[in-house]
Amino acid sequence: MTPQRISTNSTVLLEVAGLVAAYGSHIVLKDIHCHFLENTITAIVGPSGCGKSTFVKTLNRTLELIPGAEVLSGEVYLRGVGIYSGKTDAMAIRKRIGIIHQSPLPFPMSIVENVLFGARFHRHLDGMSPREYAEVYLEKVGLLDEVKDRLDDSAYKLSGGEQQRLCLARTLANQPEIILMDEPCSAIDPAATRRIEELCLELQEEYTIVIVTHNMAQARRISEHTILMFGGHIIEAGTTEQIFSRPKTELARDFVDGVIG
Amino acid sequence: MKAEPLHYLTNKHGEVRIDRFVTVAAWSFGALGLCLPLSIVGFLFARGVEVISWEFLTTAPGGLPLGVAGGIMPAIQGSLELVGLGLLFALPLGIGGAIYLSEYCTSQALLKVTRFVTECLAGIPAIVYGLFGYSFLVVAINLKASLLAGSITLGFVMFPLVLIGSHESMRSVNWVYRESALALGVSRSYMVRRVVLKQTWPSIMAITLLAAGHAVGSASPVLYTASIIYSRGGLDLNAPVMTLPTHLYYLVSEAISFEHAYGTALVLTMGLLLLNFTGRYLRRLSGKYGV
Amino acid sequence: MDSIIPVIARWPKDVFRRLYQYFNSIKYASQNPLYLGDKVLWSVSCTALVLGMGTFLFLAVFIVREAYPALAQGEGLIAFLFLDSWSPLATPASFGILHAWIGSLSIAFICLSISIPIAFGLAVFIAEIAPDLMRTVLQPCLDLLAGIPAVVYGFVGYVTLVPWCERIFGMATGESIVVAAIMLAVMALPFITSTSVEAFRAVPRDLKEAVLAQGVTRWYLIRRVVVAKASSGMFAGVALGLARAIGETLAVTMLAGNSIAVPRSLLSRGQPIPSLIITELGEAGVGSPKYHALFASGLLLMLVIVILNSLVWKLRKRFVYEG
Repeated sequence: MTPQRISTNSTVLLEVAGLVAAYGSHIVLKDIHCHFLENTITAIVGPSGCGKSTFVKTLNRTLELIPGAEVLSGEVYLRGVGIYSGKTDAMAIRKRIGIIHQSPLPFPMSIVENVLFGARFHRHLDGMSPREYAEVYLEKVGLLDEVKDRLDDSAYKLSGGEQQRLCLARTLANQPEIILMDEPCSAIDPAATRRIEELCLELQEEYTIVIVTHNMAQARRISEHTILMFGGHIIEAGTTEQIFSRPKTELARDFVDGVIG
Repeated sequence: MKAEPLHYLTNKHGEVRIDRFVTVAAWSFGALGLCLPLSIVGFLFARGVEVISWEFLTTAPGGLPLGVAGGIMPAIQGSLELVGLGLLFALPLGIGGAIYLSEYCTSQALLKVTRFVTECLAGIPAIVYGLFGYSFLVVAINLKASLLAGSITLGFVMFPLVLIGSHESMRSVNWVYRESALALGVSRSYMVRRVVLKQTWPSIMAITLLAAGHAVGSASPVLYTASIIYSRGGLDLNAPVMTLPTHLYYLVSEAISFEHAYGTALVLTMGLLLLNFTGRYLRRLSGKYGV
Repeated sequence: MDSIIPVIARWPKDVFRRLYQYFNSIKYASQNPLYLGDKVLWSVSCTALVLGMGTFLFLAVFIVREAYPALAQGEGLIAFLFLDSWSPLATPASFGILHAWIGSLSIAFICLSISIPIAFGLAVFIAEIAPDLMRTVLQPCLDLLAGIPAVVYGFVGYVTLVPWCERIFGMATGESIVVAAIMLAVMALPFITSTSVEAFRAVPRDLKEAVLAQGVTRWYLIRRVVVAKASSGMFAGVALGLARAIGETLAVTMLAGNSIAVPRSLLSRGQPIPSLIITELGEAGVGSPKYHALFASGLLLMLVIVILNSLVWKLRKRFVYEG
């Protein structure tokens, strides 16, 4: 499962410049600069509490949904357009950049309705039958065969791994360009984890994926690029191969060796 | 070491005896708690069921003095009209206000103040609302004792209950659902409609029924704002109406007819118990997609 | 700390940025029907809240305004509460409510002395001792008690307790404050009981297990530990029951007799404040001194409820999770 396809001619899809974010008066992200290339998988790693989840939430403007949290300064550019500028609408951003959280959170509705939740709002159905549309995306996450007969059942009847894939289908149904994943495998069993990792590799063709993980082995398995964070700063960023075998800074070396984190 | 006698293991001291006594006492309290409501309802049923008939429920009071014969239909009708109309005032204001408090209000201070004020309002005796309704609605704006004045007063009585109840049930929807929904890029109103209200509507219906039941049973807000001793029924906003509790009061205080009083009391109680029972049943109704 | 200062210095910029974003979003929303629902929902719910709270503010101001003349003239508040008697027909007419609030207090006191022991005992039974079957049966019974309207309680008391009193004590008419207090006790019972049960249930299970592991009896556990932890909730329940007892109108009017004398014994008749209002309102011309006096009594009731409710809030904070 070594993905070392470094796509040449990749464009910079997302660029972060000088981002500072805080919870109340406690500053969590301090002056972040980095970029993400199109159709790549980037892993964000670091010890707990270093701000990985916060960072990923700033990328699609879901940080401000948390009461008390906000982005103080800096900008994130999606294809050159700043997402925090006054002219951009947060809802459009969240349509283009989707996110999956740590614990799967299906809505109290049927499986079909869960998948279609955002798609209905963004008018993606466009004449297609709702079931067909939902089945396309359930197929993409490999869930269709398992739930084909019980699409109208409550989403809570699925197992943890299936629910996480359902959340992924829900996000994909929004037709995003970028998918953010905040430690998606930490709450599910190893078999389901493996399926999600396989999915990431499949989806890489169409989407750009940013995955936060505390599992270094997972980062080495699926990502091409890695960003290492510590204490709200980015310590090092580069290809996965380079960071894990020839880390440049001492902090990175300590992290890779397992001394910290 | 000498072997201790066996009863060392059985703990016969005073504390245990007290415990047994207390257990017996507690069971008798439990029995009392069981018998009290059942005996009251049973008593009403026994004395009142003879009076209840189709005629009783569908004709107006008659006879001399008024109320000795006939039925209580206008009172039933009047009570329903008053509460129905009152809900028209109380529901939009109560549910709308609850939506604002749970979805849009970010200031903790405002939230606490509003809740405190509303809880005080919920506790204010109904007679104070009757006092206000009489002097402001009936006299000052000259609505006269009418269906309109009475229903506005009842709306006042029900509004705090609806607001508090709806707010509580909306607050109990876990915040992560809201975050997840908004993270998919949907608008707040779409999220409220399809996630929050979808989960809370049985609870809100239950609250409404309970508030309505409370209003149906309260006589003091309507005694001077809407009620009259006799009316033929009908739906006229400007006319006063008969209501079940005031009719009961009239039958008893003027010593008109105790049989009819039992019947009226039974109808009122049964109606209210039905409302409350439906309300509580609705609360447990979470649907097949429940959490 | 050097992280606080930049945060504080950003405030004005933040405010302007937020305002700018807000107005932009309004402009954007009005152009795009997809997001119009948002603005509609916000305006409708905000209006609802403002309207609702506004009318109640109006109500409070109205009542204070109408009550003011009764408290301002003559010797004012002291006379109203303590000195004058209620003699509307005397010359000069006086409208003091001494008999009324003493009546209210005595009825409330008797009611609570009957209701509290029963309610606490019942609560202990439901929360700690009753088997599941009894619990599922008792809960609806309590709901039943709470659901019966007050007029019906008044009626039941009138046809049962009043003749019973007349028979046993040989009175001409059995209406008395003790009869009213008994029925009020039954009315307040479900409220005190449910709140106390909630408070008992909030005591953590592992604490109870740890205490019982010492080998003590259940009553010892309840007496020494559970009650201490649940006491604030129990007090809150009592306050709620008291609020119900003080505010109840028609039931007490039917049962307490309508005497304007200060009640002297359990069997004397009384007229608590709500009864006073409802009896005298019919004959009070708008703007007359009696009218203002009735409003002043209503204001007194409101104040009592506000004080009781603040007490309940302070107590509830201690045993319910702040949400």
